[in-house]
Amino acid sequence: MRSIIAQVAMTHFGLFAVVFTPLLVLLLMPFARLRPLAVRLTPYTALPALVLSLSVREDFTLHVSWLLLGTDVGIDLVARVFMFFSAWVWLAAGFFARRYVKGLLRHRFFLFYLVALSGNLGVIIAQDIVTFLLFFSMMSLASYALIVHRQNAEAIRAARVYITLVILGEMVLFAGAVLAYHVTGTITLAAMTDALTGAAQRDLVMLLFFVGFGIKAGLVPLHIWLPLAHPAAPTPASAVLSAAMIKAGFLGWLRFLPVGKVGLPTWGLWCVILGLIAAFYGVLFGLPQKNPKAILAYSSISQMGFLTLILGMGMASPATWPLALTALLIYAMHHALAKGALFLSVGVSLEGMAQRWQRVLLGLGLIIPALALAGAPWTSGAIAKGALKQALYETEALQGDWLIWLISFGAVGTSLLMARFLYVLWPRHFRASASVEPALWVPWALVVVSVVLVPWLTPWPELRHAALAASQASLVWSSLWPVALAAALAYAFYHWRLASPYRLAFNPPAGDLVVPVVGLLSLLLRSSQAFRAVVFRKWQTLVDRSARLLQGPGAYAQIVNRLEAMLTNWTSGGFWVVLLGVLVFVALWLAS
Amino acid sequence: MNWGFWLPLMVVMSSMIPGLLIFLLPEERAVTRTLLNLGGALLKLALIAVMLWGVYYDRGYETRITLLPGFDLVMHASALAMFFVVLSGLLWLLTTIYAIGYLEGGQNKSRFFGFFSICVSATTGIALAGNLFSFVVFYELLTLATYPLVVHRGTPESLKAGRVYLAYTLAGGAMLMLGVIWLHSLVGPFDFVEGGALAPYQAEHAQLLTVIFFLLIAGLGVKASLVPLHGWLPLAMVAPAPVSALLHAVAVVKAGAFGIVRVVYDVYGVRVVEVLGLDEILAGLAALTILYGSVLALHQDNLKRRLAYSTVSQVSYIVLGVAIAGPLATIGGIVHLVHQGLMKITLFFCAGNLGETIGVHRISAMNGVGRRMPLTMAAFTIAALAMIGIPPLAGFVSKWYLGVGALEVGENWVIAVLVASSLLNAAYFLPIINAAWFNPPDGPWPKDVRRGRLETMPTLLWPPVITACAVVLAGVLANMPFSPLDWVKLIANRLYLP
Amino acid sequence: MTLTQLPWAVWCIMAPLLLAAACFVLGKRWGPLAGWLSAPLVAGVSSMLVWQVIEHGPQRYELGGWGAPLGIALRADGLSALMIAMTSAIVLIVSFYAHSYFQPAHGLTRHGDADDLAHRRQYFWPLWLLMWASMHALFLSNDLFNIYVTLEILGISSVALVSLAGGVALTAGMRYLFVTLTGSLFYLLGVALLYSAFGVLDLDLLGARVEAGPVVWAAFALMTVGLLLKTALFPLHFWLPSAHANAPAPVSALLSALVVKASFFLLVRLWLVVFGPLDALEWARLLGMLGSVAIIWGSIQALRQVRLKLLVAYSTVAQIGYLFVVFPLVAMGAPSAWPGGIYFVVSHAFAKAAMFLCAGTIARALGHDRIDMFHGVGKRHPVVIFAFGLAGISLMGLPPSGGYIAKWMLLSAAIETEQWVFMVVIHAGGLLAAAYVFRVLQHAFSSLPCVSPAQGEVPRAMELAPFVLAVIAILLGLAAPYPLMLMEIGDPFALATPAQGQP
Repeated sequence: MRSIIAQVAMTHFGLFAVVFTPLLVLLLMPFARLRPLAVRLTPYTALPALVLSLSVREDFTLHVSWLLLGTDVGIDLVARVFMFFSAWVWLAAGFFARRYVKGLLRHRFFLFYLVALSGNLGVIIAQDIVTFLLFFSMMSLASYALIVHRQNAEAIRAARVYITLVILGEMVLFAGAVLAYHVTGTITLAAMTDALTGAAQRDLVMLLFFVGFGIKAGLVPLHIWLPLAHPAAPTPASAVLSAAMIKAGFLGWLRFLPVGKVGLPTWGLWCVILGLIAAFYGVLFGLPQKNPKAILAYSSISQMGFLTLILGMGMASPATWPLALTALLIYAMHHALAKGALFLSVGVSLEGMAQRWQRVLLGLGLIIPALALAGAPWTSGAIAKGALKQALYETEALQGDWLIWLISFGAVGTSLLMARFLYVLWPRHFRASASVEPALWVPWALVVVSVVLVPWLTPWPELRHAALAASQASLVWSSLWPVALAAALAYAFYHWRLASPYRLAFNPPAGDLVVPVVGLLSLLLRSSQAFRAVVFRKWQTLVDRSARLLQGPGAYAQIVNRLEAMLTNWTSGGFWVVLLGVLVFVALWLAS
Repeated sequence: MNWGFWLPLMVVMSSMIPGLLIFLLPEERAVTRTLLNLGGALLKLALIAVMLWGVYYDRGYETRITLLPGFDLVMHASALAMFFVVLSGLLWLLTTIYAIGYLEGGQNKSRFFGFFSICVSATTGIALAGNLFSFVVFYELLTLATYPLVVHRGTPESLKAGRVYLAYTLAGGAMLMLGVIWLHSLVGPFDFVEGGALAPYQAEHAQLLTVIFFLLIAGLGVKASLVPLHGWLPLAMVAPAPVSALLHAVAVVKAGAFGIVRVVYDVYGVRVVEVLGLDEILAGLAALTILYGSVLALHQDNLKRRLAYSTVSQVSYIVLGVAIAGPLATIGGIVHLVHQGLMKITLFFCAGNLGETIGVHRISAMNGVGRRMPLTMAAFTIAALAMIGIPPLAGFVSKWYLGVGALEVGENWVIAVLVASSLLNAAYFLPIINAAWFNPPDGPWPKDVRRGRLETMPTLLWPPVITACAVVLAGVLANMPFSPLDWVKLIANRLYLP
Repeated sequence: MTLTQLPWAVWCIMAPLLLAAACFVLGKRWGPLAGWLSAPLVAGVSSMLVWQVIEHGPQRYELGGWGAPLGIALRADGLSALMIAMTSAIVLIVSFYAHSYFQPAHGLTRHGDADDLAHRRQYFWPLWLLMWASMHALFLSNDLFNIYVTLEILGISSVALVSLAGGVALTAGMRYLFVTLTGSLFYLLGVALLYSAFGVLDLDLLGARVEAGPVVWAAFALMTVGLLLKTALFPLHFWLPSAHANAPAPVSALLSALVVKASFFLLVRLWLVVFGPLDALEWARLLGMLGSVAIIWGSIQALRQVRLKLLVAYSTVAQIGYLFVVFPLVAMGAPSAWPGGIYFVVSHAFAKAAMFLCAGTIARALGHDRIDMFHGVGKRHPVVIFAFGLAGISLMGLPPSGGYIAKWMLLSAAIETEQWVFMVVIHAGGLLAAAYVFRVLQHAFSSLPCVSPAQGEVPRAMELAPFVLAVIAILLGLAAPYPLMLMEIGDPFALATPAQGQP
């Protein structure tokens, strides 16, 4: 009995520690002398979450009635997995940033870093609509500061596009949340999705949530902020943005949509289609990019497409949902770790390496996560794709070889993208004097190692079994050929220099759709301004004129003055007296 | 002593009497003036606290004085009244503290604080008014007491603002008075009743009641700055910052909005308004105002002017909630009365701080102010985010209940209005926040008053910080007993229970 | 004889008359002091009458013990008691002001020599008391001819007071004399016609006997026009602005506050007691129309004036218009307009007296009364500007003031009888009043420095007297039930009620 109480107390305390540890460190920030301390503590603030995700075995929820509109927080398998990889990436990125982010704005960066961290972890434990949205917006808004950090034109533009979409997303989510509460009468997520399954306005609610979280999750065509923001942000920020935060959008889908509770074949099909579109779209637009981080950003869009696809499978047939969910968690974790490692490697590579052995290690550290992402055999990518395919075989609503083929071609695309990334970033020119400090490469190396090890050592039995099964079931061949094909293609491109004619024909800017959209918006704004100016001027003249009528000089004033002069003219007095007398008499006469 | 009779009167007088005494003080008696001000404010809060406790336990407090045969000046402490009274009492204290710092070294301080106190008395009177007759009395008193505050600076610009203010509010007051007299000649004198008093007359005088409703709304709408009656508000921002804060957060615009609440709930009654089809029109008007105010705010470069247009927009949330007229929308609308007050007073305090401390009045000059005045801008940011409706801040709670309430009665379009308005809010607040925090300063500030270790005078700094905290707490602790939301639920229960 | 049994009504008339004579006799040295001291005395006597009416109901005295129709009767019902109370209160307060106003002060010596001032002071007090006495007599008389006599005394003493200022005021006074004599003459002609037709002069008896017919119409028309001329209803206001604006400030105050109201009161009495049975709806409408035009026209003119005293004078022209709107309201079946109208008289009296005194004080302080040069007055004389503002509130009809209560009652009546035109006019008048009042006040709030050189110290009483008057104008709004109760003692308006039953 006592142990249960102790454990409950521990977990409750742990839940709050997850969210409030970063905020507690934040409290040091107002005091100039404590700021260095706060920065030093920042990476560790992700630790409670890491510990909690690994230590708590039981699912539980906690209801706090007096907070907000009634708050539910809790932890389950989804939360554990998300919390684990998020916290891990945040932890590594935190250590990395401590060394990487310098200059005047260092403290500001960490201030918002802490807020975003708290928000990201809060999203994971939130179990009711309002709490979720609260942490979600906390994370989204704080990330603005991370993106705009460099304050050059590129960063400012990226941040502006980002914040616009964030706010749009917030509003769509607000509408969805209000509607959902109206339809279901509850704000607890589990109960809400249960009730939503049979509700009249289910599809509208789902659409609002889908679009709202889709913005964060980089759903094409709502992805436009992503390829702008990731390159603009400092490297550790890009890492957490791409590894952890876009997953929070995905988590929104998991939490808010009634996936696995009812069959939604149409929704499932659309998700699969959208996912595939995103998977190829990311490759298509990612390949021509020159900035390594832009390539990674497009890769994220592409990979989120695969996640959307798995979600679609779960939607299509609830029976496969447990399997699909497992695949999804594995995939999400795999992508987070690999993408985190890749982003951090951009930071490390650009610093330069003096020694040859360092260069070899760096090359290895670049290749491993790239291969993992591409889905080469025996990597986390292969396991994830294997789990994906396993779930797909069980999905009756989506049978057909075409899907398998498309997914495999998607893998080819991913591999090509990785090849392009390696080509762009490959260590060629090194300054002899430069050397990477341990503070930078140790966290990066830790993430790289985790990419290799974690899939085989997942701490949660449910996932471990699935992962092992997937790794055995997936034929080595099926994961090998896309990578091999891509490698061959890449070599061909490199050898015969095929890239330049291709690039001449197709050279989209990062953020592709942003340009026309922004142009349209600014046109609208300018025209409304012009319209307003005209209306205002007209109105002002009208008001001024009517005010002058009463007091100022003018034709009206002359009339009034002359009339009064006539009235008060001494000689006219008699006339008025007589006239009035007659009038009164007539009036009396008329009256009777 | 008969507390039931005297308490409401004392609450009103606790600011009136210090105000009148302050008029008599010579300009240089600063300490006495401050003591009177703060003493009055604290006494008022204490009295309010006593009354609040009583109202919570359903004890009746009512002052009734006959002004005209058949017409009584009634001050009655209902739950709704207390809601507004508490707001005005609390914010008066803060604004007074702020104003003491703000006007240091200024002129005509006795006049200023005198009218300031009377202004608050009038607001309290409006809150407590127990019938339309009393409401009109305090409503006009408010108009008169605010005029000297608006023109306080005495510049041609502020004199013009004063003229426009009077033109609008007096004309509005005339409309209101006309409507009230007409209503009285139709049904005789009556007190505010939860659920409305006009149900028995609805069938007989449907058309007349409609006309009177529009008269009343036109009269109240001027102060609540419903489009197209909002013209005075953006001009009135030339007043000193504490006045703008009070005008926009508590006194004037809220008086109008509160009046509309009274008319819909306690005079006509929701049912009658619905049967007459007036709720739709009112809601449409409110929606138009919400959007129009936001669009105009978008184009202003003067900070206070932008905030003023934002007020135009935000106050109509209250009207919208009232017009939608479901229990939940009611909660959203009425709770916004307090939430908007807290948010807007914070914003105006901050705008005042910027102007007073570093001479920044325009948004285009706000680059990098966050570094010079971090606490002020933090408060500003919190309030602005709350305005946008970011959870868990106060504005979110209002919008949540408004949205859910609108759906509850099938007014789905309201969601679109809320979303569009929030977007516009974001469009005009975020650039400010961005400029303050993320842009480097353009150069030295136009003026720079530095005192001690804080970024500005403590009297200027703490009020916005406190109200910003209140904005956070009102949202985070929305479900706690005695939170604004909780109190509004009490009101809504009493309104909608048969 | 106990206090209650004393004929206070008689003393109300006799006391100021006797004191006026005493002042005159005492001459240059002691006269002014006596005049100043007699003001509280007369006010005390008047308050005894009011008290008597409140305690014992309406009073009627047959002077010399002869009953009507032979003797002269005085009657004091609630209405006259209220009028007397109002008159006494205002005259008392203005007397304090006047005392300071006519004191030699430095700064003034530049304008006129001390002799001139002493001369004015000497004649001011007897005339002042005479005017007071005549007003009391007018309110108390119940006899048409007696009333004529009081009208004449009132007119002549007013003219004399106006002329005291000298200079331009002499011309204005001459014109005023002409107007007031013409007005009285018209009235007298009406009285003669009535007497020849019915053979009685007592109001009540006449009311019982009078029947509609050309003679009565003619008499009524003559009396109406005569009284309208004295009341300065549009378009017969031609004499008022110059007379009121050029008189010494305390005199202007009384002229605007009380003297024009006296003839109005008479018109009300005639209508109530004598001509009510005529059911003269068209007549009432005519007056109402003129009143409406007066409201608008007077306000517009007030808005356009350059000098403060003229502004206030034109404001009187406008406010008089309200009084005449009462007639059509009553005639259309809303007798509740009577108390409203009378309450308007009272509150306007206090407010207007306060305004004129303010104008006088400002003129004394600045040496001029040009509105556009008022910058900084508010800082130098805050009390005066505050008083002006308070009085303005009453004029605008905003709460909590007497004007508000009166306007409320008038509007109620207008809405009850569905006379939309009057409703609109009453409202518009209030808004225009706000426009001209704030036109003055905004200069007081202006931050521009005061351009007019200081003219020396302004006596304290000259700041306080208008303030007290203005405060009373406001308090009338908070204590309305008492004056309303007082004016209904003896049911003076009861005769008007039969209109209710008839079409």
